[in-house]
Amino acid sequence: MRFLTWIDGAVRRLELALAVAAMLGVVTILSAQVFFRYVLLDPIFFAEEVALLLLIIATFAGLSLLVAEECLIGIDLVGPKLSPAARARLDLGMKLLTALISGALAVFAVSYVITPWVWFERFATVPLPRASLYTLVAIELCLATFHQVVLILKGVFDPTSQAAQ
Amino acid sequence: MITLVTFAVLLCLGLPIVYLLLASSIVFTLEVGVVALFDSFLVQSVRGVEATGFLAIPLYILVGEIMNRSGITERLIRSAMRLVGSMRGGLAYVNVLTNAFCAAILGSATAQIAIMSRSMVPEMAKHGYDRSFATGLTVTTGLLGPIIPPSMLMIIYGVLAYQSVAALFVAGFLPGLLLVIAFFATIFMSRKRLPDSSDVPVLSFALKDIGLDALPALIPATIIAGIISGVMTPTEAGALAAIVSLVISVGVFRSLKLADFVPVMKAVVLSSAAIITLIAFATLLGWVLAYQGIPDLLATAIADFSAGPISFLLLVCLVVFILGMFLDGIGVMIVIVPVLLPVAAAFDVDPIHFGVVISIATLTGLISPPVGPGLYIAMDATGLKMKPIVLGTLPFLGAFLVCLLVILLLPELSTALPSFLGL
Repeated sequence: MRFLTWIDGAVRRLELALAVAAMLGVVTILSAQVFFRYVLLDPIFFAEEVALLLLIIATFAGLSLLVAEECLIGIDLVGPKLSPAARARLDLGMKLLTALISGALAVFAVSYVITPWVWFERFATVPLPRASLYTLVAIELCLATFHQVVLILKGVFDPTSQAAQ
Repeated sequence: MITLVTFAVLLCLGLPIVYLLLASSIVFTLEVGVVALFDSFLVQSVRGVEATGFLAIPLYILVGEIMNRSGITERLIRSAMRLVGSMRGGLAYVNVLTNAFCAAILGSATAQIAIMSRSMVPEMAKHGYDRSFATGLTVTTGLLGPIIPPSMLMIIYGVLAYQSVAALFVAGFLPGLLLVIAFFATIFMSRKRLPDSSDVPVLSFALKDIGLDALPALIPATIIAGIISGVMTPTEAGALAAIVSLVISVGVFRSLKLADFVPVMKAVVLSSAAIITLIAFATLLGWVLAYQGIPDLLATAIADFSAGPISFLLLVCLVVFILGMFLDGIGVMIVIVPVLLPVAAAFDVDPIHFGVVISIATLTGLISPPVGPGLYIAMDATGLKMKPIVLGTLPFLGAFLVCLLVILLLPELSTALPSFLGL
């Protein structure tokens, strides 16, 4: 369990670095665009497409982090009315379901990006296939599932550390 | 039917909203038996957020985050206190005015409710205001966030409806002002129940202090001036506002340090991801439903029930209100707008007016029990139970609904300013 937690933490830090770098890229490119367009009168032609690409990367890395840090918004109408033991079982059930749904989307995503023909479509201004973006998103969806599974395992095998978190 | 039951059950059990939308898409696909749709789930989710208009979302979140960490709330409260703090029930007016100022910077109701519930409610309670009244007022005035520009909901509506986000931003100005006046009037009517403001701290009226506290006004001024002049797109205005807020925080207030960089960016990433993944998966659900023609059925039903534009808009408000009780405002908008916009056009409803009405109607769900997320945020921030908060919101929710009706009946309130400015 300790090794799994270590891996989970390392992946989380990597994802945070990726997401922050991508988001910083979005802000920098768009701010630079204002300067280039209105001061130098020479807009950056690829600014919007690259910014959008970075935003999508940051978004799905952010989704994975939201899962890892249990920050996803849900509306808990039943939980507060249950006994602590029943509530713990409900929480576990919801986490299992989230992992299942997340895993299903990850499977759909991976099966899409391994299809050869999807690699022919390219971005308009960036010399890359669009499937490279989809691959990154698919990886993030797999990592979100991984984080959720780690949370479930922590809840089952190490409930004290989970509660402390 | 199975999808609807699954949705309701999982919602009550507390499944996160983004996964709820995804689960509904999967269950619906299995229910109709077209599993080939699964192949396109990834592409449809990503394409749902691939609109340049959405680039403005992280920029406005960044502006809010920078200003929030710079102690902007306290400065805005002080500015509002100088203007209306000396009146009877002064802190209640201060609450409304601070929320209106905050709305011109933050653009999100939930963020605003969270911030203001933590800062204004304890302050009002300390000065003898009933906590239920203070929280109810704070929750309802927090709804100004997405109405007064800039607004996340308007950005999303603009992208979905192919309307100018600049025009939508400007369109929200008069309805926002009307709501502020209505909240002021509601406070005035309950002034006898409110404490005297003689013990409210006396503030410095030195020009330097007034100037420093009013400095955050540069941010909405940058956004509005950039957009109204037609020089900038809302995204570019957001980028410039981010630079201005950074200069104010680092250069003038000296409240943002290098060590704050990662926490600020992390907060921006998480908040943007929460909103944008919601857009992605709501788009996916909308696409799956469209495959079976469900939106067309809904649109036809609403069109059949409507005798004219007014009854159509009233019916839309009702549908949005009901959906808004169970689904996030962004989710409601993504599912509803593509469906009802053509019907609105058939009834000759101006798309900008429709956008303003639907945005405001969506907000009512945010503070309506049993699900209203705004109520939960306030419960978490103030420690009050739902019932006293709901009771506290009632007079202000009443004022909000009356304003919604006025805005619905008078399209000019939404369309006059954008037309006048040629947007």
